[in-house]
Amino acid sequence: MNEPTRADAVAAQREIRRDARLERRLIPKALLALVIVAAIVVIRELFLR
Amino acid sequence: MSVEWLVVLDRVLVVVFIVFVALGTVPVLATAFQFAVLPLHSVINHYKRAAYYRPNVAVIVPAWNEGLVIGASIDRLVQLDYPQDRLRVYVVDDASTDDTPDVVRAKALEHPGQVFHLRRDQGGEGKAHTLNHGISLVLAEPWAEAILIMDADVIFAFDSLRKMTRHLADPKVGAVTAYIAEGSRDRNFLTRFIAIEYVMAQLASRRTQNVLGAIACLAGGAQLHSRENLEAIGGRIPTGTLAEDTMATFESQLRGRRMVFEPHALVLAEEPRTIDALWKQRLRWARGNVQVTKHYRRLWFRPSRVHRLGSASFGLIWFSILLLPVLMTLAAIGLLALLLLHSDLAEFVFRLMWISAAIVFLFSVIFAVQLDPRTGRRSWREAILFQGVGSLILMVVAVFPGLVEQLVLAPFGLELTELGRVGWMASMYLWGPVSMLGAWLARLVERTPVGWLLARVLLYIVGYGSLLCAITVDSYVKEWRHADASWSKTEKVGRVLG
Repeated sequence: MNEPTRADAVAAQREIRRDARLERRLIPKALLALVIVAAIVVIRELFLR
Repeated sequence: MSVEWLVVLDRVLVVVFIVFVALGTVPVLATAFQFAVLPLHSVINHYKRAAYYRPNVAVIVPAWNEGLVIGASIDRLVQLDYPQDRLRVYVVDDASTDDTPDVVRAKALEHPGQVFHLRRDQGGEGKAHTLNHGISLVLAEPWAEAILIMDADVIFAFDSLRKMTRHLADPKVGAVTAYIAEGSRDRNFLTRFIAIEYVMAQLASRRTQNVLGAIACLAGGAQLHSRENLEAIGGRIPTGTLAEDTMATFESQLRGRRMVFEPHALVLAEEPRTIDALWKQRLRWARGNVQVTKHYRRLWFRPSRVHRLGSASFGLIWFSILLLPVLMTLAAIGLLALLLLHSDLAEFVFRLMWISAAIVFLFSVIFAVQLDPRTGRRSWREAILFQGVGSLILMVVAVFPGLVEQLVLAPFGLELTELGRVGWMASMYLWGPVSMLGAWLARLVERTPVGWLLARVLLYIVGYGSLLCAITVDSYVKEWRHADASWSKTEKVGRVLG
């Protein structure tokens, strides 16, 4: 019942790899957020000086 | 009382009130923790164990007077990119009095052997009972290998089911849930707030829960169970609380099965468009969470080898939401008392608290809008104003001391008197509880002729977060008074864009 054709299995595996790759973008997204927050902290320090 | 004793009393009170403020900062720390763990989902996820898997899926759709939405939902289900001979749809009609039976029967004739109409002549017992009627019939036959529980109004993206089933290829996984996104065609300010909330609560928080190995709740609108998992929890969705989906999630994990949140399986849902409708829906959820907390009182902060629900990290996340209004109020009391005892110390503690809140808020909002760029583009104002204009002012006051006075008072040659300064500080310290009252007021004024505009303005000032806190307070009160807990359905009229 659950035996896939080779093409189905390859397509499914490709889709899994693509979604796993999309998850790896979480790191640059976190870094971007961190850079913006750091920039605001720097601006604050300049403002308070 | 001697001077020495007064000094000791003063120090004790200062420590107590600083602890109050520190407790008020716990939700900020919990959010920081969640967003710090979130990037780990790039490496700690379930994709390595996912594989091609297309089991026979029985879809159970509970329906009570869903005539306006059920047809579109069924149409989408039979169009899913999934082998149609492995998909059956069972609509459990909970004694509907509208045209739901006619619509479902017509769909059953259109798709013989695939769409089934299950009628309950005595209804009104709640969603869990309705679901259980369908589940018991499905489990009585050996055909179904997985059971998808969904709401009648949700629209699945074409690839969403197959993206969920691939995780069930791992026998350790008991259930999978999807990303429920707000999907109305005609959005208003409230649905845009909800859209951002769902990004934060699902795409961010549930990914973190994937990493931590404990899921708080499989979304009731899209939860796919393996047959073995449903049978292990007794072949039925637990009844007895208003949070049947959370109970099912907990029961599954207590038996050692893993739950997975699949962020790339998209399901669109229609959400409330008025504060009153949202209040009723979320009150049901919040009361359910209070009931679940009591029901599993021996589970919290007690680590187990079988599940991760008792871990400190999961307890921190759970209770920082459940107790948020209490912690906010404690912080306000602490700051106000410190203001009376040592105003300089109060100001220092206040700034520390709100600077940390500002950093975490900024980081989480910038991160979150990137998680679902489409929602981010549509709802960026609501993302910025999620905590309200009032909280943003407090953040600016804390981060840039003196700026507000310079911008507001200095141009008019004015200066704050000592009494005025104390009053201004006291009003800032009390903002948490005041904002909850503001949210409650927004619900009240919404019913008046010009209420729609007033409620909208009020909500932008106090923030959507305060609205959720106010609803949580209402849930405490209703639970304490054992108020009527009969099921009240959120009205859906078919606004979801397919």
